[in-house]
Amino acid sequence: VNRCDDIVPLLSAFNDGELSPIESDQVARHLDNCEKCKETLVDFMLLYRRWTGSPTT
Amino acid sequence: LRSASITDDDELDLVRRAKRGEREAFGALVRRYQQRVVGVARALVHNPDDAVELGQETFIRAFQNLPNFEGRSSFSTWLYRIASNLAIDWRRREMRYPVARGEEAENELRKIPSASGDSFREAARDELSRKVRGALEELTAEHREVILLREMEGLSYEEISEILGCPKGTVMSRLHYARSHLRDLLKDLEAETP
Repeated sequence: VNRCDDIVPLLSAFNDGELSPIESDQVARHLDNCEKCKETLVDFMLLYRRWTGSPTT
Repeated sequence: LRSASITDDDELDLVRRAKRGEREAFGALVRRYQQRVVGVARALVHNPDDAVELGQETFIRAFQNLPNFEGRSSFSTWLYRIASNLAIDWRRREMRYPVARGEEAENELRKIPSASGDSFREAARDELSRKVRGALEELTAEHREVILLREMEGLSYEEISEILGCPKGTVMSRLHYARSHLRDLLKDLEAETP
């Protein structure tokens, strides 16, 4: 269940706080052990900052 | 930025009074939602002038149909749905979509707030805006509208799904795809910058 292929499509909604508590927990547990997915999540977060013009540092 | 809830007593009172024909109460609702309704329309049709026009039409339709509003959704969601239906009709009629024209895109990007008055930062922000605009134009209409409704208007997935008439899961997958695509496009654009 916790393969990257299953988790990646949830990362955007995870960042928006739109997942159910069960799904959020599942994503959070996966992120603890997966640098690649963590990197994708950071990319999404930076994307939002770019969009809003907030500082990226 | 979230819309007012249906449990908002003040809003319920305004809606009740507007349904009785009190124009002042309806005017208060217009003032409360005008900006958001135009924002929703802008996400769907891009051209700011058309969005303002659609916003006005939305409130005219809302006033006419107010007796049919039963409060099954929040008043704001009901309004956004009217706006999105009008925008979809407009697109069908005018066949102007999906490419945002240069001036329209410029106006859209003026909404991005400036972090500082410093000229160097302003220049950096303009460059960033140009890149975001370029990347946005690469998206399909479906993906662009969902990301504008989320990022510019701050709507929840539930609200977007009601406005666009698609399941929440579709909103989630479109947003995921749009963001992944934008991320890749921006990386490419940055790589091209010397």
